[in-house]
Amino acid sequence: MTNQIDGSTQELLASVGTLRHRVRNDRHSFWFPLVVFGLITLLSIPLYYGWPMRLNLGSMHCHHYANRTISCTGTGFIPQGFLTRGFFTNQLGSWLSLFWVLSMFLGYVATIAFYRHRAVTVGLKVRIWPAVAVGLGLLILVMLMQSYWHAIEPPFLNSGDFWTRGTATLVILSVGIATLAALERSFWYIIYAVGFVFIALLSSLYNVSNLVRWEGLGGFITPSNEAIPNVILPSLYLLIGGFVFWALQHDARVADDDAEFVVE
Amino acid sequence: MTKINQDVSDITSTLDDVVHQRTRLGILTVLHEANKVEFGYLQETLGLTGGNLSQHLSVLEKSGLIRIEKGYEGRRARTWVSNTRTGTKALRAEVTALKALVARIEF
Repeated sequence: MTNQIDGSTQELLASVGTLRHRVRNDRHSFWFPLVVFGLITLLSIPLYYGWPMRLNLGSMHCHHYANRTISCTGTGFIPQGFLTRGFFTNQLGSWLSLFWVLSMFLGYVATIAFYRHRAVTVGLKVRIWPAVAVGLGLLILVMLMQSYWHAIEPPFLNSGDFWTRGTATLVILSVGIATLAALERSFWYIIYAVGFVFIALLSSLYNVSNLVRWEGLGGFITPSNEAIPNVILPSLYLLIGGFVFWALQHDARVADDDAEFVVE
Repeated sequence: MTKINQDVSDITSTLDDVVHQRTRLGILTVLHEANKVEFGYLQETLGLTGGNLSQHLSVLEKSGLIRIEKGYEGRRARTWVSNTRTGTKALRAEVTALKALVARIEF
C-alpha cells in the first residue's frame, strides 16, 4: 500500500508541477513591455544630442524664483514654460520631459492593450494594474515634486547627479517593471528587473560614455553625443531582454504542447 | 500499525476529498496561476469534455472554492473562472499534504 501511495502521489505532484509550468508559460507576456519601452528609449536618443556641450560649457546660469519662474543668462538652451521646463532633469529641459511623459503613458497603454488581447485570445487574465499604477503613479509624483523643487531650488536638486542626465524616468520605469516581474511570479524576470534597476541607476548617476572610453571606443564619443550611451545602454538591455524572453517563452510553449496532465 | 503507516494515515486524513480528486486539483492549479481563466482554456489544458468540466466546476463552486462569471467578449459568450481565497488555501493545504506524504514515505 505504501509503495502504491508513494508512486501515485509523486506522479500527481509531478503532474501538478508540469501543469503550473505550462500555465505560467501561456500567461507570461512580459517580453512585450520590454520591447515597447526599449523602442521608446531608443527613440529618445536625438533629444540627448548636444546635452554635454551645454552642460560642460557652463555658460548658462539660471535662477528659479519662488513664483516658479526661471531666469537664465548666458548662451545655451533652457526653454521656459510649464511643459517644456523639465520635470526629470535640472540641466536638460527642452522637449525631453514632454517626450517622456507622453511616451511612458503610451507605453503603459500599449502594455495594457497587449495583456488584454492576450487574455482574450489565450483565455488567461493577468492582474497588471498594480504595475501600471506604480509606474504611472511614481511618474506623476516625480512631476509634481519636480515642479515644487524647481520653485524652491533646493541644493540637492541642482547639484544632484540623479537629475542631471535626464534619465530619471528610466529609474521610475525600472520600478514599474520590477512590480510587473513580481506580479508575473517569474524568478528570471525578477532577476532581470533587478538588473534593469541597476542599469537605470547607472545611466542616471554616471556618464556611461566613460565606460566606452575605457574599452577603447572613445573615438566615437564627441562632446555632442556624450550623453547618448546613457540612453543606448538601457534601451539595448530592454530590447535584448524582450527578445530573449520572447524566444524562451516560445520554445517553452512548444515543449509544453507535448506534456499532458492526465486527468484519469 | 507501524510508525510510518500511522504517519501516512495521519497525513491522508487531512486531504480534502473535493480537492484531492485529480481533475479538480488540476483545475485549482490552473486557476492559481492566473487572475481569471476562461472555460475553453481549462477544457483544452486539462483535456476534458465540456460536460465533464462543468460537473467538476459545479462541485468546486458549491464548496466555495471557485467563482464563475459569465459574460460577453464582443458577441462571443465567455465564462471566466477564478479561485476564491478558500480555494487558494485548500490548494496550498493539499499540495503541502502531498509533499509531506512523499517526504514521509521516502524517509
